[in-house]
Amino acid sequence: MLTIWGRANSVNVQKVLWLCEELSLPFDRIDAGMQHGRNKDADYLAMNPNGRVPTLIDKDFVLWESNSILRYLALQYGGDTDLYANSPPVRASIDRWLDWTLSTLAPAERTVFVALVRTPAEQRDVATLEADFRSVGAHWAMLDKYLASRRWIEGDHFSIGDIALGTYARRWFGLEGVELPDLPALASWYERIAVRAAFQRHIAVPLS
Amino acid sequence: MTITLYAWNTPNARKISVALEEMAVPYAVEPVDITKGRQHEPEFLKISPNNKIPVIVDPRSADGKPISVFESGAILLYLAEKSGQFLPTDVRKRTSVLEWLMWQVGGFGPMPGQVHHFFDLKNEVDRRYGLKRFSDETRRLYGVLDLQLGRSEFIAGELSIADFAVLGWAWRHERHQVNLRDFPQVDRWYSSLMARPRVQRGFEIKLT
Repeated sequence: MLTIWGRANSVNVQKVLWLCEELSLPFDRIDAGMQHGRNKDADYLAMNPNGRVPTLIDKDFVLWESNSILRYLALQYGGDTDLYANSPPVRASIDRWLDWTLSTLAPAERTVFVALVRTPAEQRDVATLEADFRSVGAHWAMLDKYLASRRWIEGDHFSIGDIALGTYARRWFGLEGVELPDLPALASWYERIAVRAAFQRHIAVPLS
Repeated sequence: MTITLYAWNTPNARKISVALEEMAVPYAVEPVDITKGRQHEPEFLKISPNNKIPVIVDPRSADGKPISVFESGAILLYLAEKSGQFLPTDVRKRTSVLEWLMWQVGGFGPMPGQVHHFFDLKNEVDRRYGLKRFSDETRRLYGVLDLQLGRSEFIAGELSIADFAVLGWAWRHERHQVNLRDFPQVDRWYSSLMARPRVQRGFEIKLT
């Protein structure tokens, strides 16, 4: 049985929960991070010196960094699935999206998410929020164009690329109090991933 | 927001429960007792003008509004579009899936279905003619399927809704008097599908 350390409302933890569900991998989840603490304790830092969530424990193998956990689980348990294509160009293209979520999307969407979901309205910096919202909107618009001719983000099959992007997309489509730009290809792709049982179980939970 | 599957424990309904399990799309079963004629009730006729099961109701179609779908072939196409799975976008691959889906709907359902019907008749004169006619045709169809499965791992290339459609009826091969060992490629294909956990769940879930 896998052990996953991390609170269920963390976008990076959710990526891992989603993939475990897709692969029917049983797991124990231990709350850690934010109000749960644990992640700065000595025993946690001994396994994850980076002190963040998620951390995966698979028997005597410990792995942290959510995108790397996705890759590991797909390689180790995703055998005959297409979750992490074997073909180098397709795999590299999937990896590109995992990297892009970290390099570009996450930093841009985090400020908007924190402002709208974790900050009381009266404490929000409206001017900064508007600018940040337009920035992250531009990133989603780029993705919308890319998805125009595609059913899944890469290749002909649902992959860990769709998982990484999908967990962030849930946060985008779940924002309240803002008018989202009309991005039809993104919306169609989102409907397709949101119908999946694994998404409904771990990702469709209320934002917090 | 779950799809409802109106069903009974029949080949055409099993096609859909198997497809839903393989697509990992959540659903709820509403049994319609066809042994008691429940499929003729006026409320059911509104969503099933041909008085048959299966029918699905999706509370949220692509346009955001509820939709009902009758005819198992149409249901398979609807679910494939909704989930983006088991129906390729490439024109040649897609056409192949549609060829075999239509083959199943037009022949490899109605013909063995008639064998089931005539086998149970008491009047020996009526029984003998109908049984011979439809048994011969059913065996011919299994032969066609065997040849196709000698050319292709699954019926139309990769696993698709054509496989789910045919499997629903191949499941009842004993009832229409077919020994799968007479059709080695069908036997291979059948065993490999029945070994899949999601297919097993699709056949185990209670539809009555």
